[in-house]
Amino acid sequence: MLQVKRLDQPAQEISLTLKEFQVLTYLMENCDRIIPGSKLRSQLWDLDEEPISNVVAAQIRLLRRKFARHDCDCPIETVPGQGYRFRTLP
Amino acid sequence: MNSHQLFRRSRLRLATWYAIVMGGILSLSGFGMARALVQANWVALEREIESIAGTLHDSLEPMLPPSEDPTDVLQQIFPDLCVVDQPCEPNSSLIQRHTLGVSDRTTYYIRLFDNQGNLLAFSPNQPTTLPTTLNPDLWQTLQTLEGKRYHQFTTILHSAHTHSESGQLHNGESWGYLQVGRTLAAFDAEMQRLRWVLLGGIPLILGLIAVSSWWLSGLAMQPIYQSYQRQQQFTANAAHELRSPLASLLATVEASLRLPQSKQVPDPVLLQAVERQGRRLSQLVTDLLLLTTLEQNTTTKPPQPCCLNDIIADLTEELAELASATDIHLSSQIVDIEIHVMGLESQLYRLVSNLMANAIQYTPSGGSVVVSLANHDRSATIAVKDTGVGIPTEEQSRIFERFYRVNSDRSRKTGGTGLGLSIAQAIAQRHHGQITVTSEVGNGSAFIIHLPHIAIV
Repeated sequence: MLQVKRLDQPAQEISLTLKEFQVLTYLMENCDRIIPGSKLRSQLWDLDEEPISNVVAAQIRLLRRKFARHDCDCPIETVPGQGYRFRTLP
Repeated sequence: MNSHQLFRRSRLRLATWYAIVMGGILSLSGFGMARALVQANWVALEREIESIAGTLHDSLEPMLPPSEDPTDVLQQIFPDLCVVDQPCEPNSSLIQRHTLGVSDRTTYYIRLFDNQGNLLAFSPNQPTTLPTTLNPDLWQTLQTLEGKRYHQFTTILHSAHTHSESGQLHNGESWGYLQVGRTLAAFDAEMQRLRWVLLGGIPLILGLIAVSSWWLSGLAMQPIYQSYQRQQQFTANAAHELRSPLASLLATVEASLRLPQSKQVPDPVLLQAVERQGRRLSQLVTDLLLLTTLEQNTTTKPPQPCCLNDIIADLTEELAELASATDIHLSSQIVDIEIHVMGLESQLYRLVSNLMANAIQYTPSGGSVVVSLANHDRSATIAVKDTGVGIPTEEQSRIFERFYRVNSDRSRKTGGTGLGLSIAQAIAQRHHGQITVTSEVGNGSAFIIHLPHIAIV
């Protein structure tokens, strides 16, 4: 469960899967840096897992959809051809 | 070779059983037909005799003389007949022949008896061995000493005169008996011919069945033999593919062991090499297992609606990194409406990503790869077009074979396990779809996946 608190709104909870949580955590730990998808994959996934779960883009998409469903802006942005970045600065 | 013997034996067994079964059925039906033919002939023959006897009977009865001295009258009615105890002179005038009414004199004979069973008159051509006493059986089959057979019909004659003049005496009593016989020579000849046809025909037919069953069993064995050979080839290829990384893995380890004792700290470069080879092996085994699972259809997960738009968008994003590493422009064209197919999402990801990775791999840097999703009446198509090296036409049918590589290049340089397209095709087929290829050497290739979509509103 992820608690999101915005200044002007009451706190809400968004439930995440383990993988989504791991991706988000990793990106937050390395915020404002571009993390290549291959790096994420080698850090967070075993080789033997099912193909679907090691498609990083799919996890990012799921994360974004969850954020959108709760009317939150997703802080993860895609840098085409390079990777992903968790933005803390506007 | 052992397997050849095995296949030969199976083929022989198949052919033998086939020949026995077919031969049995055909022989049985042949005998049955012959039997039915004989029966039909016999029935027709009896009907013919009966109708002639009936005609004679009907035309005789009104003219029958009273019983005191019938022979004179009889000779008037049947001038052709011989009367018992009188010399028999065959008289053959045309008119008389007609009066007898039996068209073929050599085929039929008639005999007349009085009501005590004494022979009164007979045709001259009757069988010589016939007794002069009456055998009142309705149907009789007789055989002469020479072996000629006759079939004979007996009917009772009633006299019209006795009825009208002295009805009180002979009312309901018979005047005598009429026997009509026919020679069975033609019938027997027919039977003989039939027997010869069967005796000569059945071995001929059996021979034909043997030859054709050998040929048919060969035809039936062919796909089995081919798939057996493919399986053997696959095993050989798999062994070969597994051996190369294992060999280099062992070489790396041996090299590190040969170093002097003092230097035997884990060398990161060597370890990385070991890891790389290990991963390669693991990947290969995983792919082989996946392929087997796909072909045996053993997955238990139920299919779910999967959105192709998402899959393609994700994979385009995912593989952009790989593409930009070799300076390939990767782009996608996705229709606005969402297209769903029933299936396993993980397998669909694998299907599309295999084709995209292939396209990126076989496209020289500076080229482009375009993935497009389109919606048709019954199916959705995902087209992966590249500006790569292309595939020669004669190779296009073989690229889906396991471990097949165009230009027979088994070099590790191109990466891949050689199973990518086999897996893609197996997945497409499991989803009731297919993959088509168009390609031109030097101009690039287009792989198009056709999948039946479901309508979602």
